[in-house]
Amino acid sequence: MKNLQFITVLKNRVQGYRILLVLMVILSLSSCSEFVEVPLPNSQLTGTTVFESELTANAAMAQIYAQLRDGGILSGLPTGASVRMGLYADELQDYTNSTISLPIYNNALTADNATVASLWTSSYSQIYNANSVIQGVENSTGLPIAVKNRVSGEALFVRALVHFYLLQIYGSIPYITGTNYEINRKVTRNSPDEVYLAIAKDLENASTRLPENYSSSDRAKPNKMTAKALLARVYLYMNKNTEAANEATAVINSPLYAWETDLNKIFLRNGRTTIWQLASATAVRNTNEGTTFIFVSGPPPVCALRTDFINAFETGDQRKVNWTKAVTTGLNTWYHPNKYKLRTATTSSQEYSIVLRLAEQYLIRAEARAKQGDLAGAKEDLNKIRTTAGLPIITSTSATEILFEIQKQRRFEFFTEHGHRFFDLKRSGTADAFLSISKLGWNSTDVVWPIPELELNANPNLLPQNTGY
Amino acid sequence: MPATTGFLSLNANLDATVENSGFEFSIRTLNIDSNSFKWSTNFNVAVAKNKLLSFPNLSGSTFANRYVIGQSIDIVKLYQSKGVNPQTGLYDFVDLNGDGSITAADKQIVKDLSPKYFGGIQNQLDYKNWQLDFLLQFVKRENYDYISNVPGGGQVNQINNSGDAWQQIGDQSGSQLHTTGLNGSAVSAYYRFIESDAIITDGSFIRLKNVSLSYDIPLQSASNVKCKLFIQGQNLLTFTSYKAGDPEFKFSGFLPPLKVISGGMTLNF
Repeated sequence: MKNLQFITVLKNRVQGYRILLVLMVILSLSSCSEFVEVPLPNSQLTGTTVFESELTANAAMAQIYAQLRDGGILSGLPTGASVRMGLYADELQDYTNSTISLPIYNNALTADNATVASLWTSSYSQIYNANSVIQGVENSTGLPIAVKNRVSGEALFVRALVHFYLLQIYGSIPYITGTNYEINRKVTRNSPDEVYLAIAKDLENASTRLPENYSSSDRAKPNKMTAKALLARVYLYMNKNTEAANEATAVINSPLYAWETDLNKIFLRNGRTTIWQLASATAVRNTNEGTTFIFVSGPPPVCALRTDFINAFETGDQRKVNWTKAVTTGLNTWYHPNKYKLRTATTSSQEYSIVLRLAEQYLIRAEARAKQGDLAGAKEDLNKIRTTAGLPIITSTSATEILFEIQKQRRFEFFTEHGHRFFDLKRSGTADAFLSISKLGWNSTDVVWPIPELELNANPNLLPQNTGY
Repeated sequence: MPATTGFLSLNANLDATVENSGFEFSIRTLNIDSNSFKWSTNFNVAVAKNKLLSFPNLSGSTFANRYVIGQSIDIVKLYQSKGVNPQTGLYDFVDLNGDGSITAADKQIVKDLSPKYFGGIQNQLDYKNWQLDFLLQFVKRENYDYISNVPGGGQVNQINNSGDAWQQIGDQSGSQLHTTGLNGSAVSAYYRFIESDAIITDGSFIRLKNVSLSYDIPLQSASNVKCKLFIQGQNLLTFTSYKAGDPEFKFSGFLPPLKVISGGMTLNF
């Protein structure tokens, strides 16, 4: 058989050359690329095509919001800041006794602690994703300008938000604005002032790009007021009180929000004071916070509110009644945060993780006003919070007393909400005064966490390590 | 990769040159060869070396704290331990870069954890119907000592000498003061200790890897039936000064080499 075939091939050779020649002519006439290029797989998208359609650009942002909800600093999981910073300051008591969370609770962190590394790593991964959206939208040719503005505004907001929390936790940090790993692997740290300026710039930019109204139901996507609300906080932290009060006023006066006097309605999915929240993963699930904090019998699986925190509530404070819950097993009683009241799924989601809400804007404006000498204005905002909590109004005329009271209200208003308490202690310079009493392992240098050791090894430009580590 | 890139790792080729060199030697001797008794020995030894010859811009790369030019790529960089400070009761380290504080930059002690040499001696002895085989394996190397990874406050096995830990000023001890995990400086000193040269110890060993004894039963019949009884053992004896578990296999969470004894009979017909 083989021999036979060979003979046939020989016979056909002359003819074969002819056919080949014809084929070559045809090929050179038509475009070669059609034959060579493999079409893109239908099930996958390349980086550039994502930002040619509004649907896929939204999907890219949705992935970032899911990332924020399920990991890193803003997550309500035990690894997020609500638990971690609550343990680190004087809100929560650790009951895991794990080698990862005990050093946090005891303020005995080392640079190789797993949480020190994971909060850093997941945050910069979120920042990378935000940066890649910003770049993708910028280079897009297919997206309408309104969509471009909205999507890049959302990404700018997220970039500013995550950097803000990194700055609070780690001190001087690199502010990352690009996606080029050759640049980002050699970055140096920016001073807190530089980081604040970069955050404020991104937020101002975002607030001009974002639409007035929410682009999704349930306020799960930031709008203009969301950027302004965070900007108000950032200006307050920067001690730019006029600007802080102005931004807070813009949010407070927005017709989108209304004050809520029922404490049990504030943390609902359709809460009127919610400025921005993270939607739950499915239509039936509720918040990670609920799953993390709520327990029905002791001892607590993760953490519980510290006794000294529970005892420090002013008599008559309705937030103690409505936002904390006692659980008694045998002779022991523990309290868990009860802002989110649902631990498991319901027929449809009733609670989402709220990141920004109206009460903070009132307390920001109260503080900014008090620092500018407008004590009457400060008291007006402060008393709005006190009245809602069922407390009598403040009539003091001393700026010191009013500022002290604002800090106190912040403590009981924002407990276990992404580390407010610790950041407030830090910026007011009272961390030592409070924490050296309530926390045995507290040192003055503990106001910043260490930079993860692996990070310093991989990028020596980040040296030196924070003092005390 | 630093996490600031958005990723922890990136796959790329490095423009580095690594030289692998080594030599192997093996010899077989027939010690006794008589009609009823035979004894032969196989001996082999191997030395393998690995050296980083060049790495462009090593100090500016993410591997700056990992590799040293001229050294093996299996090295670890460690702190230099000074033992327990009798005054503070904490592990002390040498400030190798002289900047006044102990930081990751003081991890300059280089230890090569790859084996210096390794080999085996196999003996085969035949006497009448008996056959005895055994293999001795030897490895010369350094290894990590037992590390509990927990400075205190957890229910984890601690090293043996933590029973006589430092308690008061002036105590000379190999183990620092106990902590429940509250003492931040003790915790960080402990974590540095387990990344110091004090945790590297001689991990060399000689191990009786295999023994096999078999006996051919002399059968009267002239047929082709053959019957052999045997007993075999693996990892029966280990000679080592290493105290932190099995010197051959040091991964927690997995089974180390097992001591196995098996016996049996083979029947050919």
